[in-house]
Amino acid sequence: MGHPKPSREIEDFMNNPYQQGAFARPAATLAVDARARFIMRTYTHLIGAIFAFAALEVAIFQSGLALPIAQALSGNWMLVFGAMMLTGWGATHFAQSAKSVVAQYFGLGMYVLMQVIIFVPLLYIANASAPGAIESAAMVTTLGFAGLTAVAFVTRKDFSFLKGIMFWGFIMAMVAIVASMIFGFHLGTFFSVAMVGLAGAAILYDTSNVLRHYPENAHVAAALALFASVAMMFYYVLRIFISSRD
Amino acid sequence: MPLIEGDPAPSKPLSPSERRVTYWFAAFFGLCCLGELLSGYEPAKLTVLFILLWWVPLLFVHELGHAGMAKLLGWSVSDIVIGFGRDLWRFRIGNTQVRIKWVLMEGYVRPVPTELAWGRLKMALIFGAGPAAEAGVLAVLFGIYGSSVLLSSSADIAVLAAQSLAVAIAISLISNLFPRGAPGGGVSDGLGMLLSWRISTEALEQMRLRPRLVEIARLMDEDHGDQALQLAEETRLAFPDQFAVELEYGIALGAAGQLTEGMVQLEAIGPPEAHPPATQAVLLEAAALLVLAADADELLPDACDAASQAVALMPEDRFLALTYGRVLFESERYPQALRALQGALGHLGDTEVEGRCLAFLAMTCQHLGQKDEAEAYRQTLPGRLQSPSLQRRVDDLMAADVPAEPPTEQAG
Repeated sequence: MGHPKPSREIEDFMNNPYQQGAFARPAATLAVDARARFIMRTYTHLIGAIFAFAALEVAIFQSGLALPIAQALSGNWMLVFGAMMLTGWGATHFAQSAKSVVAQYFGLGMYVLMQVIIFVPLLYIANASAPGAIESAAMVTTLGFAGLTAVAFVTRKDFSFLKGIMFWGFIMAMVAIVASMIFGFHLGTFFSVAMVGLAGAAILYDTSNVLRHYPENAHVAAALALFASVAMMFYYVLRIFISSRD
Repeated sequence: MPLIEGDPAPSKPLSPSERRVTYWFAAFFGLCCLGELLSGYEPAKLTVLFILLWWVPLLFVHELGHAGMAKLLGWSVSDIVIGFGRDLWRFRIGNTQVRIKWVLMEGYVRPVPTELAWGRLKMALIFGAGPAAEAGVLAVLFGIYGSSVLLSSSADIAVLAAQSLAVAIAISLISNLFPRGAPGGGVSDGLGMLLSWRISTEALEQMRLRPRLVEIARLMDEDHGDQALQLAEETRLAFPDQFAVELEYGIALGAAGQLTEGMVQLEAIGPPEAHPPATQAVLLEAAALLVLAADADELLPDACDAASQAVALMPEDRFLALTYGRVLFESERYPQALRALQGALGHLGDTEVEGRCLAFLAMTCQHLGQKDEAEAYRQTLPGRLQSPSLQRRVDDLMAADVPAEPPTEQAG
């Protein structure tokens, strides 16, 4: 028995230049098992990144490095912010690399490491002055993430329309953060609430991208985007818990 | 997060319900910001607002710095574009087209060399002039207030406004001088200054030719094939042996109804395989454009192949993707055209090209029976699409209420 003639759709796919580079075919257009594999891979990488983050934080706190790191960062927030921007840019650049899996993992690893260091001062304050806040924030973030993920999975809505408003939200947030560092004012609970809202929108947006737009080979980049959004939500939920116990 | 590089979601206009959600979210975010400002109010918090407000005049200063330097060096400027999104105001100053847009966040200037002597140095100076103009404002600010006032904390609103201007300039300088790519295939001023030293004479020559090539393309768009051919011939005489002109001349022959001559012209440039990938891609794209310009429907499958190969050679090039989308559209392969055009739309920095892409997206959605999406795309055209003939084509198609294509092909 000869090979069946490929369907027009398969022919189109085989001839489709978009299966390469930034235009790679979205996983959402693949067969069910390939789609499921992509989603599993993405969330496995996300969970792996979260566990790596938690394990490194525990190691830093148990080794006694937390206090010196927190002290070093507290006096140099502008430097930290600059480094964060640069590392974030570099990490995502590597994670988006379609050609090298090693580069993608390097990007994700770099990003997790950067977040580990940035979180140290806040976790140190929470540990010292608001016992239980870390656990509560972790619980709220987990519930928030699960709820938003469920919304995206159940409704199947394309949340990519949030891109514009999120872009402007992030621009405003960055300007506010830079201004607060330079002019020495404190960004309080309202700002944290706005950032939690923004992080929630980002989770919806990223999840919808995982379901609809990321190409099959971009599971590491997808996991990085989700990790960045979850980390941001955790950071500002923790800030709210700390300030509520002041 | 959307600020992460390589965002995979396509850009598309919002539906009414999506618009409502966006407004609610913006209201929530705005109320939080207001709450933050008012709770524990201190004058320093106003600096966030000041920095955002200063950004707009700084953008003008920056772009005029580029344009002013180009003029000073004897070059001309074909476009000054301030902002992105749809045009708010469009006018000409001499040969310069000025476009002020709705979203005043970034901009660009298109210098045109009048002669090539000291081209690299002049390019570097033009790139550097934008940041230099802002640095000049910073110097004036320090001259007026003095470093003791600008660098110390104050509760005085006027001083805070001046300090915010200094911070806005610093942010702009860092963002512009950091060597990086920019949307639409552009580069930051920092990277531009570095690359200027390696720019080839051919690239400078192409910048010099660009206004003529744009005009030829515009004439072909408006179905003035004979005028396009005439201008192409004149350009060919003025700039002999220029690769870009030879290509455009070949396409213009097709637009003037001389398809065979156009094909001979492109073949005379040489087989694509003889060139490096970027040139191969441009050649293949020209072949596809020739078929489109000549309305040679029987050759559309070949045009599809050529455009497809061009995109495969340069998958990151959104302009090639737009051509591929157009060819697929004309071939009535609408699901594939939709995907190609959505991919192209992502980062088309040039609004005119963005307008064309949106027009084809509107027509593609209409053919696919996605009426709401088609209408949403059409709504984005005013202030973006500069081609009256394409606008008419969109309007006619939408008015005709064409039946949806049967879903014989899956989007991909």
